[in-house]
Amino acid sequence: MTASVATPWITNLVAKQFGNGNVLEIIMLTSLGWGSLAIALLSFQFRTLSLSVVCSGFLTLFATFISDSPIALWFSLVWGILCLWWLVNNYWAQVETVTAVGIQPARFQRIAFTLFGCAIFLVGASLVAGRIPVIRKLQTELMPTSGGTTGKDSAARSGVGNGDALIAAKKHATSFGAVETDVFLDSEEPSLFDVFSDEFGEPMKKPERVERAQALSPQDVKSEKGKFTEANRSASGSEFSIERELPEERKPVDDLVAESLMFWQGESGTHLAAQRFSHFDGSNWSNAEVSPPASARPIECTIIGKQSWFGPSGTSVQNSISPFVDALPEAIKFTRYRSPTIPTRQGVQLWCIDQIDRQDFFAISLDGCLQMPDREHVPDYTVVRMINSRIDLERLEDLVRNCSPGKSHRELTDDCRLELNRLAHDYAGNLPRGWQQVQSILSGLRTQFVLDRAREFALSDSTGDSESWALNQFLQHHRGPDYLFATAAALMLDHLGYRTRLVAGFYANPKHHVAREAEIAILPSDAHAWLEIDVGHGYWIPLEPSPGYRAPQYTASIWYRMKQHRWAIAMWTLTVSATTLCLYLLRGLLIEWISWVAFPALFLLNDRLRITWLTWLLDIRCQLAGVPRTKGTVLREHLNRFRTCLQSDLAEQVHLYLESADRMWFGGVKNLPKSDQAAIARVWQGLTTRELRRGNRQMSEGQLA
Amino acid sequence: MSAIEEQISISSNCKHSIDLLRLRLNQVLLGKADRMELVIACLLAGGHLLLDDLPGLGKTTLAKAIARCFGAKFARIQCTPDLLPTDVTGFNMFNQKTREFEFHPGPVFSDILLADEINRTTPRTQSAMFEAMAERQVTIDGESRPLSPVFFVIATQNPIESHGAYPLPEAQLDRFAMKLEIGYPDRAAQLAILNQVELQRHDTTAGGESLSLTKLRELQSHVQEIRVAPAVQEYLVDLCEATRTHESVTLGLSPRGMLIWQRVARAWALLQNRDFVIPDDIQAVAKPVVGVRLITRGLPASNVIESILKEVEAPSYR
Repeated sequence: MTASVATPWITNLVAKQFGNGNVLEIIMLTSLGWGSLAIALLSFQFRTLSLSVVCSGFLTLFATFISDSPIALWFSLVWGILCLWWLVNNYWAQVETVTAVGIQPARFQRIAFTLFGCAIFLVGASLVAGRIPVIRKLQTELMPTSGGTTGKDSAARSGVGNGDALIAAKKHATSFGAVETDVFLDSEEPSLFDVFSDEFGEPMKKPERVERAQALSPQDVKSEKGKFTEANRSASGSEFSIERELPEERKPVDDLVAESLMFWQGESGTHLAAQRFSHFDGSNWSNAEVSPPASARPIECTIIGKQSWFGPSGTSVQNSISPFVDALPEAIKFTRYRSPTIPTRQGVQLWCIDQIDRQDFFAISLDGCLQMPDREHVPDYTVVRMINSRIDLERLEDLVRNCSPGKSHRELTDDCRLELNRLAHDYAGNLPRGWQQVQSILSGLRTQFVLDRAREFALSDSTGDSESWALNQFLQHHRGPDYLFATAAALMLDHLGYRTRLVAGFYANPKHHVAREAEIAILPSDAHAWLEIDVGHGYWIPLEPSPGYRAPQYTASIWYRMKQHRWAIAMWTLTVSATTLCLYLLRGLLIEWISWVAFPALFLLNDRLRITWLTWLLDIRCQLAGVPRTKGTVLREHLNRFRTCLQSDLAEQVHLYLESADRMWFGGVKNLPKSDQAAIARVWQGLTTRELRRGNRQMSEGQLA
Repeated sequence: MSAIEEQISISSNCKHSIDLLRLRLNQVLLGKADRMELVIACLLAGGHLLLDDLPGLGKTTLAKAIARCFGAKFARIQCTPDLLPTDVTGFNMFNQKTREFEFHPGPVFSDILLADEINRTTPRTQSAMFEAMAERQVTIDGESRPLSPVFFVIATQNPIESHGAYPLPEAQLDRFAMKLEIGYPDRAAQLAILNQVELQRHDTTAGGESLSLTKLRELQSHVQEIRVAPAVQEYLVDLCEATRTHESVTLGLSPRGMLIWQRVARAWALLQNRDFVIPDDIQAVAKPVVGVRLITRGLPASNVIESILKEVEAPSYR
């Protein structure tokens, strides 16, 4: 008991020596939890057991109140049902003690009372739900925090006035946060473009082709560039080439913190999008389909507490009791990042920066990326907090309705196009349209292709002047860098009729977890490319085709998941039910068959084991015959009930068996005579379930008569 | 004679003596064979018996019959409120002729003592029997005097007339091995009793082959040799612990009660012609042995014992 209470404190002390550990209140609660568990397991007194119930009640209710997760409510509900069962059980145990003679344990009454209690609770809860104002208030936020959102948010434990900004200011004399401007500062740090070039290699410069020009009048000339307006180009500001030089070899990172671009406080394996490209011309990704120009999505400001939170207009925050419920509170802290784009995960709902209350600080670009406009880059040590929603798989319902017959990529070489089409059909041709096809293509790429940023094969086949050279190499050698995986997947899905786009950004690599700060350092080497698929109504779902990277985490309600697998569940339920029913109905036959098969083995056993096996078999047979032996009843007393109904020979054998069993178990006899061994074999074969059932029936009829 | 033959001889002798005792007692108290088995078990276990029943059911007859069976010295105390401890234990009286104190032994200096309606006497007198029952000796004026080695107390109490009665304290109850209710005989037994009285039959316990006190001691010492397997002892401990933790019980079984339970179970096993105890023996004597020393919260002790026997898992052949 003492050890269980002290263990969390000691563990915390040790953990703190290694830079981990937890806060005081968490340790106290853990200690209380362990203590009550130890009381429940080790105590024999009713009062101390009750104390453990009180402790568990406190912990359950406390956890339910402070938790943002709706799952916590289920825990308290289960706890309540268990307590109700305990109370009902206690009550009936007392009733049975008072009338102990001839009363069987009232299992049905216990279950009925518990269900009745649950029904009353549910009806009562549904009647008062939403009608008590204080409950609505409690549902939003119960515990005061210092700016964080949940107990797990490290910012919540930083304390008022000593948060990240202060720490950043102490560490970096030039830190001035987001409210200042840094227009006069110049920096040699790499920009976002440089980061991608450094990591993926410089885009190849193609030799200009010189052809004889046909004399056309200027008005007949339709520039290729005419497809894109300058405004559109400036919206994303760049292209992404898949044909690149080999990147320079980099030495391993020595200091995660010093070389990081930013720090991510959130789930590891998160994909943070910085640029999106929806048009592919055979070698370059760009934004081509953007229209109208410069009509970025407006931003709305919402005041929650004293903090201004920003989000795309139309975010239904007001409808929710709290934006933090069922959402992912995450944060990103910039250090050496040189781009005005704020990398965000797909599904960002709200964001904020301390003391910023003007929404013109932010803009959402046409490709859906969050930016700080009119800035060279996001200022160092800016902390952006975000409320992200999970990627909703239920939106996939629209995917089938949104897909088109498919298209052929004329911009690719024939070989490349045919190979892509072949792979797409190999992977997903036989599958029904929708998410299954998408998953199959991703799975094909992840399992049959090898991620290789160094592209060793490229040196030998360097024919960069041909069209779609990089993609050809990728498809031929089944290996290449991540942007080729994303490109291939996007093109295959495009061919099958799904709308996709390439995303360049960063991957929150779990290997770069900084334990001390409970955050993930994002390094230049974490630059990554993946793709998104449009499932309809402008909802894009990220997809990860590259092996070695975690697939994005999706969520869906249990109901939706069940609906998706309804046939499998139905089949499974039917199979299990039918099997169980068959086994249940045939249980008597099965046991008799097993005992018949096992009978010869009886002679291989020693006397003690024979008696053990026979006792076990008789108990099962009694149960099957509907006269189970209770734990306090000795076997002799139980079998004596049937003695008058059995054949005299068999009754005698049963008596012999019981006598020999008593002698062996309690009389210190080591071996049995042949007659007793024969009696055991006779009882094994003769006292079957049918015989016991017949005896029981005869006894019942005798009692009735 | 080899050890096994000697053992067989002892066993057959015991069986013969037990059968004789069983026969004679059953002839005295008709239709109560099951109760007689328990009485014999109590006697062989060396315990004391408390008969809790209505008047006229043969309690005194039973005590006298046991005494006659063994040719033992019988004494009887009719417990009344004015009974003094010295009336039970005896006293030293000054003899003016010899100028010395002479000890006048009380009824406890007998082999079988019947304390009739023990709950009618004062606690002071009741407690005078403590030492005699527990240690088979009494101390008078600082001198300890041993009692008969087969000293056996049969106390009776009337559960109906509670007016002017002194309920036995728990400490004294714990010194009885078991409490029995004889109950009314069935119809056939009642008819047999009537005929027996009409015919003025001779007392069957007096004639025939006699059982001696030596034989009784032999039987009692044989009870101690009955084997109790560890599994059965664990079962016994489980049951005792269950009496202590049962929510309807104020006072469970003491270690002394547990020892008596084991002894009575051994005697019961001997009565069943076995030289080892099985769980059935423990259960068979549970109600009379535990019932005398279990203090419940108003519930009938037999109900509580029944529920405890149901709840505690009995050892099986597995």
